[in-house]
Amino acid sequence: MKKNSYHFRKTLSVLSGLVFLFFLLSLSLGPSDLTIFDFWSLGETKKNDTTWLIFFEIRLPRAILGLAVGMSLGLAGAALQGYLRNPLAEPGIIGVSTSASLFTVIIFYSGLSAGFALLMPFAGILGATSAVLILQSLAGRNASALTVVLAGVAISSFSGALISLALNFSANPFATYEIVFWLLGSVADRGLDQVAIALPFMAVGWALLLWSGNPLDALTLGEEEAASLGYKLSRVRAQLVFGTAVAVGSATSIAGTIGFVGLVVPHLLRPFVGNRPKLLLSASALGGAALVLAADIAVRLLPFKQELKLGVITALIGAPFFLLLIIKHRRSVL
Amino acid sequence: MSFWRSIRVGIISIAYLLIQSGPILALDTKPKRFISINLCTDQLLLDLASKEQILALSHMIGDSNSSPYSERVKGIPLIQGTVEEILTLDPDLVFASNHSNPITINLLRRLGIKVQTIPSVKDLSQIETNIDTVANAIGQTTRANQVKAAIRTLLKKYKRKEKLYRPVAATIWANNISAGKGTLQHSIIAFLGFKNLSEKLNVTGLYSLPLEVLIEKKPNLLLVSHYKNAPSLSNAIFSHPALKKAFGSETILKIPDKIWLCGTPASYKALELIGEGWRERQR
Amino acid sequence: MTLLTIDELSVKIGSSPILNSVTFELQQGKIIGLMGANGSGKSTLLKAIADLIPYSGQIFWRGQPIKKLPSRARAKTIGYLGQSRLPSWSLSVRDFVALGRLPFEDRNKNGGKKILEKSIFECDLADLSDRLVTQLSGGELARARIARVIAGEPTLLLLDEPIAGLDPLHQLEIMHLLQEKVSEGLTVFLILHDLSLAARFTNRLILLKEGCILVEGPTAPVLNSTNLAEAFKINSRYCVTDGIPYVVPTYPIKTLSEPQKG
Repeated sequence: MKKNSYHFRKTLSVLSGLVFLFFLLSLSLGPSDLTIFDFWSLGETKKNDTTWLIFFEIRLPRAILGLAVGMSLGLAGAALQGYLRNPLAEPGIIGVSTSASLFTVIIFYSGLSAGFALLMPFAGILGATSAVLILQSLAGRNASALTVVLAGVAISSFSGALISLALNFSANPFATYEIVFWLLGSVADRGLDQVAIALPFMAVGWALLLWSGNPLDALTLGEEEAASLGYKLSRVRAQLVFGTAVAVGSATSIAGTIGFVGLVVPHLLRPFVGNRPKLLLSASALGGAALVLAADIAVRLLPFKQELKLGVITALIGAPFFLLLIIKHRRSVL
Repeated sequence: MSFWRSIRVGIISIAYLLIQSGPILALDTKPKRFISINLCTDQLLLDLASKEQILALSHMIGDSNSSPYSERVKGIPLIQGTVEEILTLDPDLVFASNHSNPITINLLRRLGIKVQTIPSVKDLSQIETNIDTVANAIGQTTRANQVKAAIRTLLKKYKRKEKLYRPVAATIWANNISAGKGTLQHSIIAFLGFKNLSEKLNVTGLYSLPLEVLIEKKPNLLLVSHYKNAPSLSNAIFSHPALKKAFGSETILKIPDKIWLCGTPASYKALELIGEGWRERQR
Repeated sequence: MTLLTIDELSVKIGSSPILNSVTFELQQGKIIGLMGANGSGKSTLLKAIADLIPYSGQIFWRGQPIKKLPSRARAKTIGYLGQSRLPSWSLSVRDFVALGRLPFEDRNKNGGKKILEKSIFECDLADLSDRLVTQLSGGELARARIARVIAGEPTLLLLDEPIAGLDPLHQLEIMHLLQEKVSEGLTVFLILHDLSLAARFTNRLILLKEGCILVEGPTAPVLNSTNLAEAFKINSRYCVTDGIPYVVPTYPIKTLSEPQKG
């Protein structure tokens, strides 16, 4: 562990390279016969040309969404783990994603968002915020890791059940089956218009979370010494809560619940950044983007008639990882 | 035996015989009553039976989103289709589809209620077969012939003569579902002289059609079947910007789902709609 | 000169009073000890000065009300070490000490790096700078924590039991280190329990009893047996050997007079 800063820069470059590679791969994959080379040779073609349409209106939004959602989830996971000092924290496990889905479902299926598309990310953010606030009141200020996870499980299960209920109330009979989307997530088949609405919110969330890097580093020393270094704890908490809610809430409102990204990525990258919370933020953002893009590529390469939902892949990777973590930290955490 | 005694025995015997045969005579004249528990057989019954013959229909026929007949069912009881409801109504025959719940059908039969299953329609020609099956069961062959005659006139009007140029048509439903070979919808567009997009893709039956492929293959006519306008992710494809940009209003033709959901006389309306729509666009 | 003036400081947690109208002054360039029985309010006093808990009364910094000082400027002048020791994450010693530069936001700049290396050197951590803090022994961790807090180049250090649980060698190490920094101009206000170390290393001493100042002044007179009996309920003797003062406490306390026979 000689030169930590050197490690960090190398890590960031590798991650950026991966993200770029996966982004390009994502643009090249699709059920039609077009590849990225067709795209390069577009040149002076009209905006309504088939190739143009497929790349810009179908594949590009998908790739951008995968990248943005991955960034939001990775960043939020690193921030939550840094703030709660809990290696098991992540937006899915603590119920933030599911609550965001719940509020979005209510707004969407009731038809309220038909006129105002902005209502969707707002609903997601509101749902995410409620979950974090409820979590804080359930788990208390100095709760153990176990308590936080348990409270999160409660919130998650409850929201999930309410989603099913809300879908059943819907006037459209297809709605009941759409719970699969809301609980397992997908970035497919979204138009640029929808992505353009959610993206600014996610960006605000990223800014808030990245900006909390120094306070998170200070919190390594515990709350008292962190305060003595000039950080107002209530402000830091508000920034982290709001940042997580905005980033994850808006991401979930458009892509559904995608779990485990915020758990796996910070854990894998922590050794590469010398365990420093601030550096872990930017590394996890890139790592999350890479992971979600990779999962979205895997989903398209699998030979299923109906495309698998993203959350299945992340759960297949993340759930065993979660179990391993519990076993490893059994004594110290639980 | 005395004369008057023989007369008395004779009168009593004849009276006895008459009383015994009364119910048989009554059965002959009392009209049979029928129930249908499937949306498609509901429609067949409505088209072919007289009002007194219909005891009850399934509740789906009253839903204006699934049924083109929703206005015609006033005064007819609509049921969920449970065995209890049917037992209470005591029909002479129950019509169901071959896809109806087999548990329900088995129980009805075990309880002594006759059930006639009508196969779901995969091809235009099967509609006439089904009309005949139902008409024979309810004794309305004259009305059936009228319906069939009207159908044949319509078919003659829209059968395409030139077989050389076959424009490509594609169907799209919620959740990106499309109809390939071996479906009613396919046989309708094939009859009108179109080539189904599914033939290019080598798929049969109902299949999932990705938006990318649809845009890439650029059919000449896109038949969009909207079930309902209530919000659902299944409807997402209809408002996707790529779809709107790829296909203009001259390529898209909206068909209400309820028209060709079932293989019944009403399905020919779909044939008419598509035929007329295509002719208009050719001008 | 007077660095800190505490005027009628009171702290209540719920309805129970912890500190009651505490008033004293801290002079620059001295080591001032804060002692008292468990629960007498020592940590609370330190936290109030560090602005970590609410209080009533006034605190003046160099004559100005301390409330006027923005929290960032305050963080650059006053360093605080609490009782909890182990950091949440296994940082390297260098990264850990670097946290002290957070208020200056120059951890990656040359100026900050120089001060960081200086603090590491002063606390004799040069060989350990790449080790993880979780791999340090108790004494090494204590040095690392001191290094962290002096990396901020503060004017005043508030330390809550920095040498508790350390072996005699490491205790002396830390106290000598603090003495050195004080000779360079630092002011140290620390809580400790060891009477002998207090006698040896502190210039002035404050004794707290049940939230009030019992006595306050130069160390040696404060450490007389009357005060210690009052504060700790022990008998004691103040001795000096080879010029090094130490205090011998005895237990139990009967009366201040000679013990009764029979």
